[in-house]
Amino acid sequence: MATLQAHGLRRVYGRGDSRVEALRGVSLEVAAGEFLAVVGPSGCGKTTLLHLCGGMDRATDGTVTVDGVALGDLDDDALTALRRECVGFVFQFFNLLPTLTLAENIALPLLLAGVPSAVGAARAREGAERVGLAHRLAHYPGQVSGGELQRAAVARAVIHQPALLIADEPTGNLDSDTGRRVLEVLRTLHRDTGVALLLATHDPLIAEAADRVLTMRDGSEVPGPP
Amino acid sequence: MTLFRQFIVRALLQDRARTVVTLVGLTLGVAVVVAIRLANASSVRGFETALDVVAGKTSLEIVGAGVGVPETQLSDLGWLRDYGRVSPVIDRTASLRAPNDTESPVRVLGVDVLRERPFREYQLVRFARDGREPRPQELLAVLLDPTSVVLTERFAGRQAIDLDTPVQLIVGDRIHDVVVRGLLLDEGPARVVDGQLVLMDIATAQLLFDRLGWVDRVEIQLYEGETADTIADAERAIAARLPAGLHIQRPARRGRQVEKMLAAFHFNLTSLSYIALVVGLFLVYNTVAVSVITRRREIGTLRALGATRRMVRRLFLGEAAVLAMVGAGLGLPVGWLLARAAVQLTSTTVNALYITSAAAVPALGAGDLLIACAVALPLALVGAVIPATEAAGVTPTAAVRDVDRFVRYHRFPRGSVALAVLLFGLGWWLSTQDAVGGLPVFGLGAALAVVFGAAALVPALLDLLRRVGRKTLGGWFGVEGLLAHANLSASVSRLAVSVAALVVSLAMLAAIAIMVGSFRETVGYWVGQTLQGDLFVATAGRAPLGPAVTISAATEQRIAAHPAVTALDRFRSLDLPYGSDDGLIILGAGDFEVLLEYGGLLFKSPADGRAAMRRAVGADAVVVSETLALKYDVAVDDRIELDTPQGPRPFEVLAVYYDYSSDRGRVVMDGRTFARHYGVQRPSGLTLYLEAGVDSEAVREELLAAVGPDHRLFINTNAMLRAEVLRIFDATFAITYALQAIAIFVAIVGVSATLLTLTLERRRELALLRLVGANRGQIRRMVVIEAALLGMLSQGIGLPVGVVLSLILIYVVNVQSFGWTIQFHLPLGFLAQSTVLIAVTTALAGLYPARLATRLAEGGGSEVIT
Repeated sequence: MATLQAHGLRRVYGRGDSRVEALRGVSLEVAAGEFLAVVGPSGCGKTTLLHLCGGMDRATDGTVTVDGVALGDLDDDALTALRRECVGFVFQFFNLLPTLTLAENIALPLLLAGVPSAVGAARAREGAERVGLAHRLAHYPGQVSGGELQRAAVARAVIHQPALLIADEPTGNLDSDTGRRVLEVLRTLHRDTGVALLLATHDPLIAEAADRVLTMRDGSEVPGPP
Repeated sequence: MTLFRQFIVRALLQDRARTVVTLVGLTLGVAVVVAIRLANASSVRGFETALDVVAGKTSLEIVGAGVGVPETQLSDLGWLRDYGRVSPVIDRTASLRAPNDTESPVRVLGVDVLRERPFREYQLVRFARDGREPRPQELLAVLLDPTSVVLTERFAGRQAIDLDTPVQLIVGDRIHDVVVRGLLLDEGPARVVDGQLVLMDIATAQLLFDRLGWVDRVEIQLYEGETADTIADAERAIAARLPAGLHIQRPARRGRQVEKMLAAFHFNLTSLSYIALVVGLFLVYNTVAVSVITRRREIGTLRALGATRRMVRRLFLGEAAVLAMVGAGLGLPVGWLLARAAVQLTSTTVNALYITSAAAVPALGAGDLLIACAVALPLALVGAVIPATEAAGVTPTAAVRDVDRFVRYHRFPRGSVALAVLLFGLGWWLSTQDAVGGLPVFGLGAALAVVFGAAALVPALLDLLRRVGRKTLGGWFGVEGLLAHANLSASVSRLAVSVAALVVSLAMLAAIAIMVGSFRETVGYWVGQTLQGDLFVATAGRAPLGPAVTISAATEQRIAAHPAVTALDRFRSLDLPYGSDDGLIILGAGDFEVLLEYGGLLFKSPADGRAAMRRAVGADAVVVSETLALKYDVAVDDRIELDTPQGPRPFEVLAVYYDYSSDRGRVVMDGRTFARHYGVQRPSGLTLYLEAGVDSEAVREELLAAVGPDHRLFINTNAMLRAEVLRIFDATFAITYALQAIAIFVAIVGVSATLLTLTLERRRELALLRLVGANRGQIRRMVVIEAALLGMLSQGIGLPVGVVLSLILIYVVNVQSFGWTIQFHLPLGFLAQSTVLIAVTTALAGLYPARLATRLAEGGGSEVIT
């Protein structure tokens, strides 16, 4: 069974004249160990799709199942718990908490799940080593480079061994060289852990690295280039 | 201006909750300052108004040394008529019982009607209706009957008393039946003391008040026009001819004496009122800070479109100015209402300590508006400087992209530590300086220096907390504790102002609690040592200022005759001018032999005070209270000169004793010495010592029965009097509870507003937390832990600072203002309680920001990702 299954997803914002239909019935599946890239121009609904798939937002119509759990049936607490246990996120703007060190940032999902801080610290160290950040553990986000920030974000996204990893333009805010290195880290982790990876991007090079590509325009799936 | 209207005014109107909270704070700050100013003015003015109206057209008055003017001397003063019209007066207080059984304190004026007419305008209702004033003979006819009194229409109306109604006048322990024979129209003298005035013939007054052969003063209305020069000339000429023991003065002098008595009390109250302004300052800071934070992008856009830094700074300073003006406008009427309430509250204090009545609160004038603005505007601008400067520093690109919130960790704030050390040093130096004109100016300066020193130390202590404590908090509260510590650590510079304000407020709370607690302990101990009598007999209607009412001979005999009474101390007291500038001290007299055998004064010096006191029996020697010793720089073995009816006489000071019953200063001499210099006076109170093993409660009942229904006495047992002393003490310090409430208010509003600011500032981070799996409860707990941490941190700094402040209040300010020695006492229970209270209230104060945080976290998801 696929790790992520989405059927007929629609998302409508606003009402009346200000009504905007961001998604118009999109369906997709990502199996464990698979890498699906979502591409399309700005405003085509990529981010909305990722929100719905990661349990950050609820669909107007349609269903999402992550690791066998239908998100529509969950209340807010259960949805939060699911995000904490089954989903990892990487965003365009790094999004580490500026008040925590890189080690604390990486360990955060574990700590929020009630894992003892010593265990969290050890796992964060392992994760940091995997993304080449072992020497930066005690630094704050303000003290490291953009590439290092994004690598820390990747380490945080997989520290709790999620079934699904969602990445939204993870290299969009980096120069091409740094972006390539971050992508490398992502792919290595994806290969090693067997996590299902759903990634939105503008970058054709990244899309090329994916197992499959889903192309979107105006909130719908369109046939992509062969 | 258009930009200001669009960018600032509109936002203030839209964000109503924040605007209202700030305005409430500013209004409260201004209101408290205005209220205390008005309340102080009213208590002095109350006396002055009464004085002015009662003094009428009197230009000068002749007074005796404490006991009044003997009538025998009046015939020798016939020459006074060369200067003006002369009139003797009895001016006392009593209690009037109306037919409806309510009792009211009244001022009784005994006048010589035939001579009085030119001095005051009396409009009797029955003549006024005929459109004319009463002729002296008609007034005399009204008053001639020794049971006749005239009341005011205002008072009579209130008590439903008609003409020819019998009422009772309670003078000392005696109850007199009198009949209301006239009503004064509600104007002129009748409006004094809210109409609680009783007019009677002087002879009747002398009889009623046990003043046969004496008058309280002789009033003079000059024939010539009353210019400053003619009055001064006459004053000099009359002074030169007056016999020893009599003095001439202007009626206003009595007002100045009251003003001087109240000066220290008012000065301290006013100083404390400024604490309320801390609330205002702090809230303006927060409002403008929130305003800047929530509109970073807008500011960036403005800057990108060409607004200069100066324009941005002015916009936000303008916001503060608008808030200040509205706060001042609202603060004035609220202050007036507060003053009215405060007069009722402090009238207990002022009455217990000083005078009998305070006037109505004066109406607000343009001057008050000016003061309110002068207080609010600079305050608001000072509060807004930091955030406005921050706004001016927003760069167009950073604000538009909103990626500039990376935590900036500052270096250890050495500068502020140096400033703190400097301020503490200054505080220490100021605390060693003497009072200025009897006011603790330097003492309060020292307190201020310590407060600002503590505020300057806050950034360093916050920095210290940042470096340590994360592990501990993480251990105690898990990930929420870790996040709370991380959040606070990252906002040291923003928190410094808020925590400093909290520290100041909580330090004040602790300091006042320690001072009042210490004072209460001291008074409790003093009462325990000093009040050795078994029963204390006093009369009704005893006024703290002015002549004491006395106990009649008949009553005294009946009491002394009780078989259980083994010894009896008759004490009397009178007010005596002392010192060069309108000081008014209390001269007391008691039976020193009885006091030595049974009583227990607490002596400050010499070591063997009792032996010294023994030498004062019957001799021209006195013991003085420490308040007098400190105020007038008097020490053991000095000679002080006291005014007596025979002129000034020297008395040797043999001992100084502790006395907390008045801050005016008290001189006590043996009853025989008193009688020799001031004549035999009826006692104003009796202290009874009973046989060992006798039930004092039972004796009290028997004595009350023995004096009968036509006399009225207050007899207190030792336990009752001790409780009464502490009750008066607590009433006196009731106003300090208002200040404590303000401190708690600052704590709650301060923590809430600070966290609101921080929460708004990190909405993206909150959303991110939700995305990585934090549930609502965890976010709420994190904010509440931050709130409690802020409260506890402030309390942690505030407590030791409060202890230092209390030492300054006790050993400097209090000694300089009142001259009392207070033993330092740490009310541990209270401090522990208040610490728990602060922890709980500040944690509760975090609830609203916590709710907001969860809401922001929900709505901020898209912001995180895009």
